[in-house]
Amino acid sequence: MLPLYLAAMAPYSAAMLFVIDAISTQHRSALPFWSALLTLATLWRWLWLPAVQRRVQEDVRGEPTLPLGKHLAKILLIKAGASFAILWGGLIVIPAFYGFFLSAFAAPALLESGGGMFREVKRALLWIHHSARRFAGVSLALTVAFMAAGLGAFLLQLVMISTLLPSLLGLEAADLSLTLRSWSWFLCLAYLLFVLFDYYWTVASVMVFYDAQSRQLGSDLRLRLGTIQGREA
Amino acid sequence: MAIKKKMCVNHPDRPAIGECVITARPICSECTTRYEGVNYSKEGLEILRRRRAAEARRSSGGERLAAALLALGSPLFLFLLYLFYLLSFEAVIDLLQLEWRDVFQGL
Repeated sequence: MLPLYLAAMAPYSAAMLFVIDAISTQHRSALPFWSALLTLATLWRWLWLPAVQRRVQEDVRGEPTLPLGKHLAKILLIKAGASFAILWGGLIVIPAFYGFFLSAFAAPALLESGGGMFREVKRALLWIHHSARRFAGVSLALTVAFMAAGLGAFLLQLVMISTLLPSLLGLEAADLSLTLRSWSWFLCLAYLLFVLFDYYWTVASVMVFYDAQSRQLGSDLRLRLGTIQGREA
Repeated sequence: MAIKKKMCVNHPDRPAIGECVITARPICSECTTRYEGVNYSKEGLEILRRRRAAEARRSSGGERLAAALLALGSPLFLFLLYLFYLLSFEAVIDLLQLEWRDVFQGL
């Protein structure tokens, strides 16, 4: 899975490094070019991420899924629509919430049933709507974990510069301190964290998809037992 | 209560070994075709074939529609994505240029 993910992210990461360089040096005139390159790299990333999810899906199912090539156009279209909701509807929160999960479910849903695109979108949106509270919990947990990881990395480097390197190892950390306090370092660190969480979510989203499916179809045994016990009580 | 023995719908003298999952008619071993783990009669198989063909037609129609929408909408979508990136990065530069100490003092 990791090599596939790295193949998906390599052009995106390269373009992002140039963008970070342009931002930190405040080189505005370079931004249009690097933004265009990042847009193309995003397209490349979307072509590969369904392949990563398919690999996870095959591991979960224990058997091959439907062929990816046949459904790729539909997956890309759903991802494009969902990303549109995330990027341009982010301020209103709700479109971004549905878009975030719809984008993650596009590949598993189409490779599972092979049904029509609109039917799958409608079904996925219904599942997201019915499990909105649980999914809000998932989003919150991911956000908190992301922020905690960022804070942890910040504190770790603070301890390294102020205590560990000068006092314990006797190294001069003034230059390093200057680098770590720069915006470029901060943006690179934020991007690294994004990549780690993105990889985690790409894999975990397939499990979340199957969880939502089992709850909606009533094939989750624990849930059914709970319902029966509730009815008996 | 005595169990009524079902006879094959095509061969009334032969006992049925099961029912077709599509037509629900009793069928004997000679009239049964086992496909995907379940029993079908000849008529049931024909209905299944027609249903699958219709599904395939619908699915390929959806694929064609998706491909057409993708081809038509992708330049606009890519432009909007590009615009989003550009405006966001410009905004980040504006944020970095702010004198944060002055901002906090202003508050």
